[in-house]
Amino acid sequence: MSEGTTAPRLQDDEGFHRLHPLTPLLRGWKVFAAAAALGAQQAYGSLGPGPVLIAVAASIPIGAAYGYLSWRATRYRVGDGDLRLDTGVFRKQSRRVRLDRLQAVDVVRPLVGRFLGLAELRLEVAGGAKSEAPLAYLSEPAAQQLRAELLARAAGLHHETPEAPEAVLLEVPLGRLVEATARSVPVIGATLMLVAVLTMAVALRSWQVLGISVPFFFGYVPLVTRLIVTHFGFTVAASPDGLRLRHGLLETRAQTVPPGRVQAVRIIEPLLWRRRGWVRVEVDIAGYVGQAQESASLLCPVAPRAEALQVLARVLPGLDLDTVTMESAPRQARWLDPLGWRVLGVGADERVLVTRSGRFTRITDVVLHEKVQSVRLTQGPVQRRLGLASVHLDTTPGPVTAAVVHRPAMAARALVDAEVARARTARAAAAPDRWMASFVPARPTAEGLYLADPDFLADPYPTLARLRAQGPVLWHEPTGQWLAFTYAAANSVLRDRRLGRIWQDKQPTDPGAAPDALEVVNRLHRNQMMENEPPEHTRLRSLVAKAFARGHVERLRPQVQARADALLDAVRDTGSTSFDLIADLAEPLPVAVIADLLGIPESDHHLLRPWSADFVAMYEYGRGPEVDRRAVAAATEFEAYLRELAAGRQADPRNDLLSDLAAAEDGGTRLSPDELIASAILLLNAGHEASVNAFGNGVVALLADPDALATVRSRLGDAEVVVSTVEEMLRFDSPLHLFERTATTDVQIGDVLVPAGAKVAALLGAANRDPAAFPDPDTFDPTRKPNAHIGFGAGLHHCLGAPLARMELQIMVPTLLRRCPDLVLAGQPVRRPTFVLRGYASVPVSG
Amino acid sequence: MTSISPAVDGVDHLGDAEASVDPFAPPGQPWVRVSPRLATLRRLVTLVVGLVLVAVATVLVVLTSPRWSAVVAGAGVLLVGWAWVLVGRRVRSWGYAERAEDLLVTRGLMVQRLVVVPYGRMQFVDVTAGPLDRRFGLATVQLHTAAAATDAQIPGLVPAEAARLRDRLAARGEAGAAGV
Repeated sequence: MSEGTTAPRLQDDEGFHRLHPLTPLLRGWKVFAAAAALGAQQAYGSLGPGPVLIAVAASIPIGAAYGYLSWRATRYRVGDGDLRLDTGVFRKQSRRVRLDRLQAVDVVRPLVGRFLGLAELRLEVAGGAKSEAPLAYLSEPAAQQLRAELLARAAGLHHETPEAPEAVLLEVPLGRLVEATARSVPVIGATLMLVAVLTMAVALRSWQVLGISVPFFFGYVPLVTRLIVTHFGFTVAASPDGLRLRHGLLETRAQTVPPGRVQAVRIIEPLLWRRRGWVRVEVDIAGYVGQAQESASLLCPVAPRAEALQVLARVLPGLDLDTVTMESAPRQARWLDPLGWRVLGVGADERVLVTRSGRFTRITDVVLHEKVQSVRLTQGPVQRRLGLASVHLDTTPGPVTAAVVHRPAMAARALVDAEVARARTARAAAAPDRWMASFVPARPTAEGLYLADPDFLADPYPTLARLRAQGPVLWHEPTGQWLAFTYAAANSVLRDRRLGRIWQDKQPTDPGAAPDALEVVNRLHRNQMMENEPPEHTRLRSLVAKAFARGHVERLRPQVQARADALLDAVRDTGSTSFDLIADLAEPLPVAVIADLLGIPESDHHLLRPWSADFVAMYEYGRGPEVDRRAVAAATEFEAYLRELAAGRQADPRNDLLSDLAAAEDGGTRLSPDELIASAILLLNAGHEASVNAFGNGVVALLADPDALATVRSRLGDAEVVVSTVEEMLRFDSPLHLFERTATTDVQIGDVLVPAGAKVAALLGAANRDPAAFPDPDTFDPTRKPNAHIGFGAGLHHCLGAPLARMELQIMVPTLLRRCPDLVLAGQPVRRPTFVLRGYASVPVSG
Repeated sequence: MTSISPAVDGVDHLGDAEASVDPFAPPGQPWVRVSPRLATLRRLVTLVVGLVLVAVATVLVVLTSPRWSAVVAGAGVLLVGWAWVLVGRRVRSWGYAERAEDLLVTRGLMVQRLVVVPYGRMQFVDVTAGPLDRRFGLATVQLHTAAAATDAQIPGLVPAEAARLRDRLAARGEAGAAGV
C-alpha cells in the first residue's frame, strides 16, 4: 500500500478515501505500552512471568487484527456540501458533517505521529457536542491538502482553490514565553516555597524535609513548563481563510479560525506583566465546546499590547479599542467593589461594546454587537439601595463573560435598550456565513419580514408592498437569501440563465435525527426537472413536454367539463346548498385530471392529495420535525406506490403518461428508475397544487369584490372575459409566492450583486402586485389587459402545466358561477398556514 | 465616538417629569403578567411543604425539650406565613412583553432581572407543564439562544397562551431553511 506522490490520499471506486495505513499502529501503541507495563508489574507479583508473557503475546495479533479491521472500515469522502465519514467494525456508523456549519479545522500532530509524518484533522462544527469526525491519522501533506479543501468548500469556493497564502502577524519568542511564565503569581509563589523547603532541608540536613518536597516538585514542574510546552513557537498568521494559529513543542496544533466566527474577545493584563506592557488575548469561538473551547480560545499567550491589538484588528477589521470612550463607574460602586471600582468602565462604538474590570489582573472584554444573543439587566438588594444595576451581554459559551457591573440604574436600563438597538442594526448589516464567497459591506435588508408569522400570512400584501418600495432586491436574514420584490427584478431572476435551480439536500430540522433522515425526500427532488439545469432539465422535460402542450391539453376539455358537472351534481345530491369549495370542487377536480393523465386508477385518487400536502409542506419556511416526519412518511409511501405501478406499466403498457415514462426508462441514458419515480411525483403534485390554490384564492377574491363579481356574472358567455378573469385570479392572489434560484456566478440584479453560490428568490406574488407593472394593482379587475403576470414563473422553469391549469380554471370558474347563481361565502375561509404555496384549507360557501 | 447610553448616567439629570425612575419599567407597553393561578399553586406548595417541615420540627422538639415546642411551632408557622406572602409577590413580579423584534421578560423581588431576547437569536422554544401545572392549567415557556446564560423563562401561562406564544416565537425565529 504505497502512496502516489501526486495523490497522497488513497481513493476507492466510490470516491472514498482511507486513513493512513499506519493508523492502527499509532492508535494501538499506547494500549500495548499500557498492557506491557501492567504485565511487567504482574510478572514480579503473584503470577510469575510465564502466563503474562503468553497473554501479552496473544493480545498482539488480536489487537493487530482489530486495528486492521477498524482501519478497513473507516473511510471518508468530501462532497459538495458535506464530509461523509463511515466508521465501525461491528456497528457501522455513517456520519455527515455539513460544511456550511464548519467553524474551524485543526491539524494536530502528536509526538509519535510527528516521527511517522502523520497528523490528525479535527473539525469543529457549530452545534456539535464534541469535536466532530476526527480524522486520525492522515499523512501530513494529505492533512494539509484536505484542510485547504474543506476550508475552500466551506467558504463557497472551488475545492481545488489552493491554500491561501499567509502573512505572519505575530511570533512569541521562547524568551518572552519563559519570562511571562516567571512573571506569574502562582509560579513565583511556588518557586519561593520550593526554595524555602530546599533551604530548610539543607540547613537542617534533614532528608525527611527533602522527602516532603518531592511530591511538591512533581506539581511544580508541570506548573512551570506546561505553558511553555503547549505554547512553544506560538505563531499567528493571517490568510484570507482566517487566522492560522500554530503552537506546541511535543504535540503541535495548527488551527484556523475563520473570520466571523469570533464572538467576543478578552484582553488580560496580569499585574506582573504590566511593566512589560504584555497582554494575553482569549476569544469566544462558536462551535468549540468543553475541552476544545478551552484549548482553542487562546488567540495569543503573551504579546506586547500593540502587537496583540494588531492581531485583533485582523479578527475584527476596523476595530480600534483606543478610540472607544470609556465611562467609569459611579462613586456608589465603592461599597460593592472597594478595590476595583475605579477600574470599572464601559464604552461602545458602532461595532463593539467594551468593558473593563479587575484591580490587579486587568480584564478588557470586547463583544461584537451582532454576536449578542441576549441582554440582561440585574439589580440586587444592595445595588437597589445604592441606585445601581448591572448589564450582562450573553454570548456563546467561552472565556468571555461580558458584564457591565454597577452602573447607575437608569443608565443601565438605557444601556440595555441602546445595546438591543445596536445589536439589531449590526445583525442586519452582518456578512453571511460563507465568508469568502460574498462580502458585501452594507446590504439593503428586508426588515420585519417573517414568512411564517400568522399575521403576515393573513394578508402579506401590505408588508410586501412596503418592502418592494424599499428596493427591488433585498437581503432576507432569517432565510439567508436575497429576495426580488419588484416585477422587473423577479422577472429577471426567473429568466437569468446564470441563476439556476441547483438542488441542495434538505437537512433534518430535528438535531437528533440521522443526517440522512430526509434521503427519500431529497432523492425525489434530486432527480426531477424542476431541481435541475440543462442538460438534465432538457432531457427530463422533453420526455413529458408533449403531453402538457396546449394542443394536447385542449382535447381534455370535454372530460374536465364532465368532471366539474359531476362534482357539482354530487353537491346538489346531498340536498344542502352549502359546501366546501376546496374539498368538494377545487381539490377533487385537478387531482382527478392529472391522475387520469398519468394513469393512476380511479380507486387510488384519494391517496394523492394527502401525500402531496405532506410532501410540499417541506417547501415552507420554519418547518419543524413533525413536518419532516410526515413528509418522509408520505414520500416513502408515494415512492413505493409508484414503483409498483410503474413496474406494472413496464410489463403491460397502456395509453397513459406513466406508461410513456416507464417505456423511456432504460437504466439511465434517457431515464433512470429514480428519475422515473421523481418525475411522476413531480407531475402529480405540481399538476394539481397550483390549480387547487389558484381556484380557491381566485374565487374568494372574486366574492369579496361585488363589482368584479357582477361584471364576470354578466359576461359569463364571453370566452375572452373568462380567460381574463382566470388570469386576474392568478395575478391577484398567486398560488406560488416564492421560487428560489442559486447564482452559479456573480450576478448583478438591479443595484445588488448576488455573489456566486448565494441564493436569490423571486417573489411572484409581490411582483404581481407591483404598481410599476400593473396599474391599480390591489384591485381585482376581471377585464385587465394586458396582464403579463408571472404567476406561473418565467424562463427555463416556466410552469409546464400552465396550459392544463388554465384550461381547468377556465372551466371551473364559469361552471361554478353558472350552477350557483347566488354563490356567497357561508363562513370565514381558512388559510393554510403557508407562504410559499399560498392557498385555503377550506372555503365554506352556499348558493 | 458615540455615547455609551443615550440617557443620563446620574439621578440629578432626571429632571423631566416623563422620565421613569424604575430601571425595570415596561418598554412602552405594559408587562403581561402571568396567571394568578401560579401564585395559588406555589403558595399551596409552600404551605404544604412548610407545614410538614414545621410539624416534623415540632415533633422533634417535643421529644427532646418539650419546653420550647410552642416557640418552635409558633416561629415555624410565622415563617410559613411570611413565605406565603413572599411567594405571591414573587409570582406577581413575573412579566413579559412581545415587541416587534424582541421579547422581554422580567422577574424577581430581591434580585430583579430583565432579559431582552431578539427573535432572530432564538434557537428553539420549549413548552413544559408538570403534573401539578397541568392540574392548575398552567404551562412554562422557555426560550433558548446560542448563549447558555440567556435566562428567559415564562411560567404560569395558560396552555393556549403558551402554545400561541411558542408558535409566534417559532415563526419569528424561523430556524429552518426551505423554499421551492
